[in-house]
Amino acid sequence: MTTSSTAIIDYKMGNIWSLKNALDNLKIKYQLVSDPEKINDFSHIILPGVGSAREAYNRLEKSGFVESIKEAVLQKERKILGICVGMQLMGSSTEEDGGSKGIGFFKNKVLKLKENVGIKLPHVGFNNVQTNESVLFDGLRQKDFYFVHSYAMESTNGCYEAGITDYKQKFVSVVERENIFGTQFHPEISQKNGLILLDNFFKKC
Amino acid sequence: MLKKRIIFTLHYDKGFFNLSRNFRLQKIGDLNWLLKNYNFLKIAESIDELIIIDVSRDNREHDKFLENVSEITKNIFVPVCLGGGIRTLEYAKKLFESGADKINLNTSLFHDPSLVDEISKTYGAQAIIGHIDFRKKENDYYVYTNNGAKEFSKIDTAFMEKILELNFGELLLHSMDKDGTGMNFDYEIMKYLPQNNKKPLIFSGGAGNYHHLKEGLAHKDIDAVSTANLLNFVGDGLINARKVMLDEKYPLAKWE
Repeated sequence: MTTSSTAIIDYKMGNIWSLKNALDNLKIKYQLVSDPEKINDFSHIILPGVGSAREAYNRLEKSGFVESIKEAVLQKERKILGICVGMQLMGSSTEEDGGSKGIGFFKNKVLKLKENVGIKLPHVGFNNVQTNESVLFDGLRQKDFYFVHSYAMESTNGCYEAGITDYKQKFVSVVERENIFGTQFHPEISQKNGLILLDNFFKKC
Repeated sequence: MLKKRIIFTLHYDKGFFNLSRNFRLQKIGDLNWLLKNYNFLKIAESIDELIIIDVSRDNREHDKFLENVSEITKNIFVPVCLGGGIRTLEYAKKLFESGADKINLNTSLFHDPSLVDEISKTYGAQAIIGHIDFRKKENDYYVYTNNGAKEFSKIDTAFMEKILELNFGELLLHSMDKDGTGMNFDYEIMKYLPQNNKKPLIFSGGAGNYHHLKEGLAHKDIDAVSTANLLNFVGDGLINARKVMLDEKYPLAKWE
């Protein structure tokens, strides 16, 4: 690791523009990284993602990122933040789009939100995130963040399930274990709340 | 609990932001005016989402539009939806790469529904707002396309059901009769929505004051309300409206 800096994994499935704006605003240095070998040069890694989780996993795997992310995170203890589909990829599998496995940092499965409880899909808008002990959420207990998704991580009551959100059913909206973090919502488009969270990731995690 | 949303819509036409009244455009100011005089960045701290539509009536200048978008969105941290003249996957792609979290499809929704599938395959249905411009004639409602210039079809429930089957994430209903009048939303159109509609609904056209926004947000089937009126909520108008609604326990997001 040279200096404290951030790699945004660039695999053409990201919501990169808004993320770049947010990091610029926080004066956090970053680079878009499309070469999996390079991510070890950074202290922090962001795994963005929108669209189909299966397509996202395929692209990550084909480009060699799945292995390089595992090495950077599990052996070299780089800090990683998965956003939206980026968080979903950290689970064991997703049932979206015919199904796919995930990177497997967490044993949870990603399932479609249940519609029969009388909800509209996608789940879109600001919703509350209930957190207990969390470094990522320092100063942000019970705040609202912007979600836009139809699939989510099911809860298995793991102690790393750091945030839960209620949309007539509870799902895991934040995971946090040692150097691994994930948010189902988009901090980069969650007004001031999201900027504080991103700042926490770089300064406190 | 999921909160309801207040959306601000900007109408862009060849370098200017406009007031639209029944789809007639009145230039109000350019980018410099919007950011300096209108203090839009301050207003943007009180909205849940921003829609910017290129409503140019003839040749749209895509690059100039995107330059304006980039200047506006660089210091705004809410979802941004871009629209106006999206006829190809290539242009949709360009919008996503230029700051769009979502895109707004209107004319293509009716004239080229296969484009909805193409775009959703790459970016997901959640990244597309299906936008319907409608107008009442005598006792019936009609859909219009091409910036409100062409009548497309009479609206009935079967028509709405068919449109809602397309692979987009949210439905936006915009009343052309109420557009820019400040005379309140047209709720009557809702009678054509199928009972089992599963797509989030954005209501637009006619919000003239915060009572109108409140009424819209209080409606059980409406998930978001939009205002495009640059003058009705000038200065602290929208900021204060949000504060009042939060004090009155309307289900809106709270930020630091």
